[in-house]
Amino acid sequence: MIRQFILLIGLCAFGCAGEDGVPGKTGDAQITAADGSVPQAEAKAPAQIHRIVTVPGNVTETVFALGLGAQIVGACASSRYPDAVESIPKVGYRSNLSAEGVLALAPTLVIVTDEAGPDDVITQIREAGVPVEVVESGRSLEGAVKRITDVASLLDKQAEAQDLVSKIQTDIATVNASKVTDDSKPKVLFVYVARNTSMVAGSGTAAESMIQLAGGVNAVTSFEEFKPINPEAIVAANPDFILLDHSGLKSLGGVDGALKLPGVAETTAGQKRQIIAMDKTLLLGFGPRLSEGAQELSRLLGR
Amino acid sequence: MVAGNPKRTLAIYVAMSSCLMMVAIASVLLGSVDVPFSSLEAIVQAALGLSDGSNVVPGHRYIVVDLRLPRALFAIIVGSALSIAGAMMQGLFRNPLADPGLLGVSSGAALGAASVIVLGWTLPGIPNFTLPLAAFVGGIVATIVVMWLSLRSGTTSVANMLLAGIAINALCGAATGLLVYVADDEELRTLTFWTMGSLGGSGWADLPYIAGLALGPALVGLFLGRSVNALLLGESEAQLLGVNVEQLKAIIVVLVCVIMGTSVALTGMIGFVGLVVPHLCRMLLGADNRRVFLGSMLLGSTLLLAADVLARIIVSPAELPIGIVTSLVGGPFFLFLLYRSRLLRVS
Repeated sequence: MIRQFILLIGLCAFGCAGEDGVPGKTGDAQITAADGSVPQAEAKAPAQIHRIVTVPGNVTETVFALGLGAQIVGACASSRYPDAVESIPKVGYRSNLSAEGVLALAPTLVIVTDEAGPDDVITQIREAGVPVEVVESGRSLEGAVKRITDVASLLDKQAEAQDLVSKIQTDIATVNASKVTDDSKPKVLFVYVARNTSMVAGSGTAAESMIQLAGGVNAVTSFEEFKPINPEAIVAANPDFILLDHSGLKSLGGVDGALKLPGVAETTAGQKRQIIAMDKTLLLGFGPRLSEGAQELSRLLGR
Repeated sequence: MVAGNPKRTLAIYVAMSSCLMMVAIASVLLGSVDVPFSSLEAIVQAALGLSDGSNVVPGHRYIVVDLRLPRALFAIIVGSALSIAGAMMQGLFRNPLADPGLLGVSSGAALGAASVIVLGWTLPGIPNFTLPLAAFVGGIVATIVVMWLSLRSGTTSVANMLLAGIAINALCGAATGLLVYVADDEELRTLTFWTMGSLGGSGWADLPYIAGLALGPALVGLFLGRSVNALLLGESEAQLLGVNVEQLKAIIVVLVCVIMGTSVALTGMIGFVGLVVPHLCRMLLGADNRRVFLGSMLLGSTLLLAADVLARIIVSPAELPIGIVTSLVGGPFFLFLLYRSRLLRVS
């Protein structure tokens, strides 16, 4: 009995020591937060060295593009660019964050888009005294520009943001300049591969925004968001190009596999073998590489 | 008229077959693209060699012959196979609530599919075949484990089979849950839709597999009705009646497992059909499993085919997962039949 009691005490002591290890810093953050105003002021202070957690990938990319990648201590699981992200601890998927997981990294600033969640977890992180700044998640040119500007102002990097934004706008203008009249725009079907049914991008999706930026039109606008499509409707939509991301094309078995998707063979895209693929983060990320994505897609569309 | 009267039984078979024919015609006529009846006539005439095919609209031909027809055949085969698999399971467990899922085959297949979707496995050479293969293997392995666990001194205990099936389902469910946990939005959506089933990917290329591995075992199952009837009396009684009970159990498990593994692999999980169609048949045809098995095949194919037509046209040009339709349409209908039979019994 006594031995068990001693063991128990020992375990408790060990447990406490373990907790003291890393999250000690979290404790500091909590204290800073107790007096309320500090986080905002800190966020705006010049030359402040932050410990930043970024969610999702486009915020991570933006912070890297602003030259502050070294200050990122945690990023969401879908952050895959640039390569330096690989060595940064991952805090889980953007909509499935864990308060303790984020706090364990002792961040001084958490930058998320409104897609991040769950809301309760965001609240918990705030209550623990870590400032959580929410930027918009809009997947459009305007949304991306606003996101870059907002993230930059949180980090006091307005000048760098201006450079990024003007480069994006110039590049997009170049892509636009090469566009011809509306009726000659190629119809593009973005297939987000879903095995026994193809799930495709309807209106209002990031894929549609990107297709439009690159000088094409979305082949399917009769429904919103991503939905499984009837193979007959693929024939009826008759896209000129079928667009996938690299992993999607690979899982289908390349271009030949994509041509075997029900309905595809009968479309212009199928007959001309116009099956194209891009990196997913470049295509749908709407981060600072937005214009690179638009240029690449535009090139793939032969514009 | 008592259920079981040969004339009445024949009439019901004829009615079921005519329903199937009508739904089959509807399924090649209806879809998101409007193919007029005259177009269909032209295609049929050309196919029968009655015309040279010059009046056939090529786009319509593709839609009818390459999209709708293989899909209709898929629905017929899968519907009949799932239903007879359900009927065989209910006979084997001597329990009207038994469902092919009890063998662990569906949850094993789901785990196989989830692994491919989330972990992004691809088999070299046959990348687009990785998922069905993984689902099939997952289903078969889960069933083998269940069967092995339910072996007791050389004989299979049905009670142990039930318990082992529940445990394996829970384990596979937990493993699938882990994969769901690490999945991103896209993978999650793919997985969710996969578990609700779809016949959208059915083409001529997959038809030989489903015909051989689902229709084949289903047809073999038709010959087991008599033995399963004996089994209903109890295992020792069936043995006394000259039925090799151990062999029968093994045959049923193999047939059900192959049917389910193949259907789930190629069309995802389509629930409800296997559980409810045999019940409907018992209400219509009586408890004789010879009739229930044949009736299940006819009614199951009709139900699934009708569900697929609805899945294709309700939200056209998008498509509903077929599992939603089978439950949404079949569920209330089944409840109505239950309610009516209760009223009949009371009065």
